[in-house]
Amino acid sequence: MTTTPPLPAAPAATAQDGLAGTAIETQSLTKRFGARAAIDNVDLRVPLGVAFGFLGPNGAGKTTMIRMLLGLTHSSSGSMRLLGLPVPEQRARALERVGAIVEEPRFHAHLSGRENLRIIAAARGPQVRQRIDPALARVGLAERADDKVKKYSLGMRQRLGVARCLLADPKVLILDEPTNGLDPGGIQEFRLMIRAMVEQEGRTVFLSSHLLDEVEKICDYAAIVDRGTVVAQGAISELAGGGAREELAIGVDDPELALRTLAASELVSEVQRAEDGVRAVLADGHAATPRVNALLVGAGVGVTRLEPVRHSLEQRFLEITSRLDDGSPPPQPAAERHTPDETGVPA
Amino acid sequence: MNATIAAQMTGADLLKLRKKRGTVAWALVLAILPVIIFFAVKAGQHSANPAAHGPAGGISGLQDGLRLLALLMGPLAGILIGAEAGAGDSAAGVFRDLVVTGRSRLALFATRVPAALALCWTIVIAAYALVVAGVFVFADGSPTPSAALIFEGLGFTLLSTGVICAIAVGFAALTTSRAASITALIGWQLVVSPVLSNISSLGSVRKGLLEQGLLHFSPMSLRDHGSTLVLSTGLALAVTVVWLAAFIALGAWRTRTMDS
Repeated sequence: MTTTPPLPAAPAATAQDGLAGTAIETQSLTKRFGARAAIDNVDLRVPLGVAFGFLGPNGAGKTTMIRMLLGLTHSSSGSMRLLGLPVPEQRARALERVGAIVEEPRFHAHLSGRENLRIIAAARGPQVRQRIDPALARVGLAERADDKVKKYSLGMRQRLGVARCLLADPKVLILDEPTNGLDPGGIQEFRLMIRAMVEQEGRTVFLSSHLLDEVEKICDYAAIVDRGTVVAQGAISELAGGGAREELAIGVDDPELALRTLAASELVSEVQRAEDGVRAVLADGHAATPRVNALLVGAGVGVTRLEPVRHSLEQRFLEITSRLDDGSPPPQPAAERHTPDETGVPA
Repeated sequence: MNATIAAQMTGADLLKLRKKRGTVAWALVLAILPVIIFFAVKAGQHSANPAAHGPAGGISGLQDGLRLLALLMGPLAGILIGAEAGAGDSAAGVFRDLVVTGRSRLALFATRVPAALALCWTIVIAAYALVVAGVFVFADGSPTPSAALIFEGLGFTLLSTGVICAIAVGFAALTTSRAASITALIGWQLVVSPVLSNISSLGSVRKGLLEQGLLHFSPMSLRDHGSTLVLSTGLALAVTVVWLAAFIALGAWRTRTMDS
């Protein structure tokens, strides 16, 4: 992707223009198809100026949620606000500053990239046409803008989809599985572009994905959705459990002795056998690591390795969804009890 | 939606249509080729045996040309263009992207109609110009139509093709399928409607057929020989408006309410 001057950043929202506050907010939002709830009582709060991942397995209800937000389908109950404006009541005004790609980006294949953007620009208003060239340049398609879309690769279509979003000079971009079908290079380019939009241009990106790694690398905050229900939301680090659970992987020559020693100690709140030793959850955080080492050595255990365990979003996601599969309630770390706003995100 | 945005959106819809080369090419073939073939064959027959075959042109040439263009082939071109305009966005999967702009769905539907008419009428006017040229070139001494009759014929051709084109926009928006719409409307236009018109046991019920309503506005008699159906101007107008309004309303309703 070529480096080009960014589009002018969207001006800051004010309370007067009705756009201040959160980017997206839902309350008890529900969508039913017959007896089945595709989205069930979802409360979601996406602050302005962040990349927010909407993470869930295929069929979890991510696309349905996005389609409701954009007015492509009606909700069964509950309420939604986009940029502080209630939708569908003030949908037209809210969508003036929202760009979206729903599922894969689709275009009139017999038209060029520029002509496809002209069609959207015509619907958005007379002032939008002047944004076509900057938007094409922003996504690195200026050179191919007059080629027919049927000659574009999937990656180029994704970029043209983003250019289409940029015509709105959006405060919020809603992207549904945006890296589907992209090669690793394309995913990397896409990731950098999204981060630049958030960090340099102050836009909010709401990104749905079933790819945990992608959300972890792109997003600041995320909500995990499964079977139509948001089971956790918060900062990525808190969702992954890193802040709430500090764990050590300890390599030892006598796992049984290490297990008994640590279980009897107040330094450790939880300990279990692992393949190459033991795993211990530290009661007072990683500051206690040297004391754990001394304790084990003092008890006659040979310590070969002491390594903090990095909790990934993937682990957390699998924990949550596997417990749901068992019918158990999801675990409740700090992140789940707070909306991103309450966990320190400037709204 | 103000006039500037409406004009821009209509222009965008026209861009989509005129760049659809297959549709435009087929519409041109359907509207123009039969006219060329008609005059070529009639002129050939006349030159080969003037006693048995009258001249291809003249007033009778205009009458035949109107029947061919306004009632038969022009509407088919209108159906192709109208169906493309009505279902093109859904078929390409871009309707949802238009909805996401926040523009009202009714506005998105409404601007398709003038765009379709603009392309349809451009093609039909070109075909009508050929008819008029043939009428004079192949008159061979027979009476030629007045300028007033030529303009009335043009008006009738535009009315007939325009109404059917607009109905096709509505019907295609209703079905969201271009292929199904084209098949159904051509089947109606070429088979069902003529058959119903000729079932005399249906009596005055046949006056409700769109074809009968439109025929009333022809400046020359284009009814089949032996047809006894006569509509008043008011009834003909009502029949035409009801057909048009019904399909436009159905297309608008579907566009407004469907999940996209």
